[in-house]
Amino acid sequence: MVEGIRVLLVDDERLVRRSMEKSLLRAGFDVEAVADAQSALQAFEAAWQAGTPFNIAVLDLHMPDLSGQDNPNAGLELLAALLERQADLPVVILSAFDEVSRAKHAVETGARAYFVKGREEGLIELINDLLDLD
Amino acid sequence: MERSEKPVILCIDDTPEVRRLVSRLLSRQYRVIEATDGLQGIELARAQRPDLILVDLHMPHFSGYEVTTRLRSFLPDTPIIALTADITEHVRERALASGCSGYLAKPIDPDEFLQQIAAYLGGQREELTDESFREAYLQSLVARMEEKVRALTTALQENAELNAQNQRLLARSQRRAHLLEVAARVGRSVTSILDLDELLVAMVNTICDEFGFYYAGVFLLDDSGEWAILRAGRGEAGQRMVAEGHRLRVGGNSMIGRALVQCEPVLAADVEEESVRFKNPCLPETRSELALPLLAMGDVIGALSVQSTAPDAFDKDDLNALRTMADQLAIAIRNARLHQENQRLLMDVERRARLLRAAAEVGRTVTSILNLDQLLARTVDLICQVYGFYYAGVFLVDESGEWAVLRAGYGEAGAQMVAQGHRLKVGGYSMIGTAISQRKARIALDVGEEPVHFKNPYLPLTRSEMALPLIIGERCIGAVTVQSVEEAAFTEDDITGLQAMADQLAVAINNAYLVRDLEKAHEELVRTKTYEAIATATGEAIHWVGNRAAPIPGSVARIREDLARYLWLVRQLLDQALPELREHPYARLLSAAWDEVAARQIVDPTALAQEFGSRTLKQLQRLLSMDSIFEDFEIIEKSARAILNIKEDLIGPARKRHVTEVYLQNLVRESVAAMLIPETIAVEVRATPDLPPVLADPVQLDRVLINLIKNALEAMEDRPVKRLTVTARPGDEAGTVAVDVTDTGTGISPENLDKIWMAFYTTKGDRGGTGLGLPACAQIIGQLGGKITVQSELGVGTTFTIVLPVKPAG
Repeated sequence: MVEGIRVLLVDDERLVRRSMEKSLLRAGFDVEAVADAQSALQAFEAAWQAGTPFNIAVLDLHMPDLSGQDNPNAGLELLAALLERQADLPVVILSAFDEVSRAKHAVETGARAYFVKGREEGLIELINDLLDLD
Repeated sequence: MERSEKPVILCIDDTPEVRRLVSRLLSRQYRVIEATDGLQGIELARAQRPDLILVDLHMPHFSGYEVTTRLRSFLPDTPIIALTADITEHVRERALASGCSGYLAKPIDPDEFLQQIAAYLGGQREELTDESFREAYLQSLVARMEEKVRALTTALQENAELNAQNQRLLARSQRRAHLLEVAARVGRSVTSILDLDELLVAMVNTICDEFGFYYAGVFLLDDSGEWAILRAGRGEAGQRMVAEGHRLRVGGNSMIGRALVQCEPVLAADVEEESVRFKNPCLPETRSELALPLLAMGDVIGALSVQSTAPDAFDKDDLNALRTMADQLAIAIRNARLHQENQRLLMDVERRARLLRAAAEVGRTVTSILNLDQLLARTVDLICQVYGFYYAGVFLVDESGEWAVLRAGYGEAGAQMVAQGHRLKVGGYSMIGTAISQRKARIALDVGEEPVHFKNPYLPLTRSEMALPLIIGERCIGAVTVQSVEEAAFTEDDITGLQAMADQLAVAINNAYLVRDLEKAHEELVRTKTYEAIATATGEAIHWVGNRAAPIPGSVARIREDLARYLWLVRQLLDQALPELREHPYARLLSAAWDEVAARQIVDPTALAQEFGSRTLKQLQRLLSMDSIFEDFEIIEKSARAILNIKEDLIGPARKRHVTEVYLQNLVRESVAAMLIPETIAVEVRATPDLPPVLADPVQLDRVLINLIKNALEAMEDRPVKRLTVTARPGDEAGTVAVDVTDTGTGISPENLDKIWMAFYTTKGDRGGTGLGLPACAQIIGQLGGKITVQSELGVGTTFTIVLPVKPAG
């Protein structure tokens, strides 16, 4: 049951972010989409404060990091920051075609899975899997 | 006037005192002229026509009597007065008989003298009374004549003899002078000849010509000092003897032999009587002969033989003159020899210098040529030109190691042999073959006698040959052949010099090989790198395209879904509508559309009913909106465009270039104008006029420029001040031109300045194809021999600068 599942989506590319957001929305997820690590952390903490924490975070790797600098490893940094706050938070690392090795590395450092951006239904299936939803 | 008044008196007397006295006595009244002898008296009388003549009777040679008689013949009336101290009988008579007009005795009485003279002048005459005196006188005249004639005749004879003697003496001294002159001339003419053979021939010819001898020949001692060898001889006989190598032993049974030992001239006045003499069959007419040693600085260097067909042809003068000449000639010979020696030494030194220079040039030239074929061709040319050899060639061992292949050969013969792939077996029956297999030089001073020699039909004139191996470390990589048309053509210096050059050549060849290997490796590397780069770029491109394409299917699916949902909503409405409405064509169209969508099962009607059932408008708007559809269209469009851009950028650098002259000042203006930059951005184009052109593909350059400008525009998107400056100017380095694209954008941080060149690097979100742009731009500019650089300040702006080399002159 997807209803009420809160997804934190972080990707700095507008087209990609919007497309994934809409797919997730249509799939029934409650999505909050942000464009950089700083905003992601803020959103996460706000949700926590509001008592409506995220069930899962989907993070891109290459984006402006916590210090505002564009950084190909920003996602990993954010991953670490999120896990610090909630150690069991499921995190999916979004990877471009040429970042797969780093994405795999992310899995070794705490991410639940990585997903190569492409078929958006795949992401939805993955999230369903991870969260054990029907 | 006075002169003509005074009578003229002529006094003929050989005694000066008498004349003085007469003059003193008479000169007041008369003009006195004097004569010292009869002849003078007659002359003066004839010239002056004196009024009176005084004659001394007793004068030597021409007596007064005779003078009187003579005077009478042309002065019949002039008083002629005899003067004499002779008191012998009948002197007076005799005087009158001879023609005198009067007679005065000496000593002269001064008192009477004047009177007497005056009287005679007045006309006084004495007469001869006895005519017999006249006869006697005539007889005595005749007798005296006879005597005189006799005396004269004797004198004449004497004179003739004396004359003859003088002539002989004169001739002799003339001859002596002539001899000396000849000797000097011979000396002068020959001693200026420095060529020894020329000198000797000139000597013998000049001696014979000037002195008139039958034969002259010059012998020079050989090195042993035992033999005198004929080096020049006059005429055919002489030449024949020289050709035959005629020689005489020093101290042997010949005049020359003796003269050489004695160091003194040896003369045979009559060869018939000479015991120690070599009878030369070539010179049968010799009657007298002279052998002169040639002494220079005290050393005997040879001898001169001079022969005459007349006996006794050499007198003392001849001997002296010839001796003097011989000494001069000896010195001349010595000088000529010294000259020869000097010439030889000079040539030697010159040759050595030439060889050294040549070896240096060869070394310098060949070691700087890295192209193997050029190196070898140049080497064989140099060897032949510098050393003057007939042919030179370079063989290199092929890969199998069995054959030495001719790689360069001098001249046409060489070129033909190379073209035909001429080769010799290593270790085979040729000098090259053995030189290579044994790794030692082979030298044949006469190829006719060389056992291992390949007679090359292309090189028929070869008489001597050298084969020098080319050795690098342990390997012999080939050999050089050098051939000459002369036998024994190679001196020690040649061999040493050429071997040294061969060693250098081996090194140079090795270097050329190394360079060739390096170049091949480099090409391989470049090829590999190119593949890599292409592979990388392709991989990157694929990923990038993948990333760009990812959102498209999602958006398409959503639009399809939304369309289906809209049609479902329509159908729901129509189901509840009045039949008349349902029958309306529009309604039927829409209905049919839903039927189609339903057939494809794009949406699940039951789920939709659940989802859309009993929702408010607001809720419905959230589920289905045109905004969402437009957004999805935008996603598709932008993604697709980005992919199209990458196609252009990706094949940009490799795209077939049409290179022409491009004037950057024009290009920047045109490119900026064509971009139709919105007016919200202040655009300034600064172009230095008359910039020299660059060689480039104008379309490519335009793309690069557009890329940079697009970057600039995007960097300024959210900036308060938007100013774009594009400048075309001369580059900072000579021979370059530059284009700057400056924006007032956000700038690039120092850490990112290097990263912007990485393919697919992107700083912010979606930028279409700009993530790929900079590396491709850099590659394009790099291929043109230029570079792109960037300068930036955060918060101020960025300048990208393209620098390109100017099209080279000519």
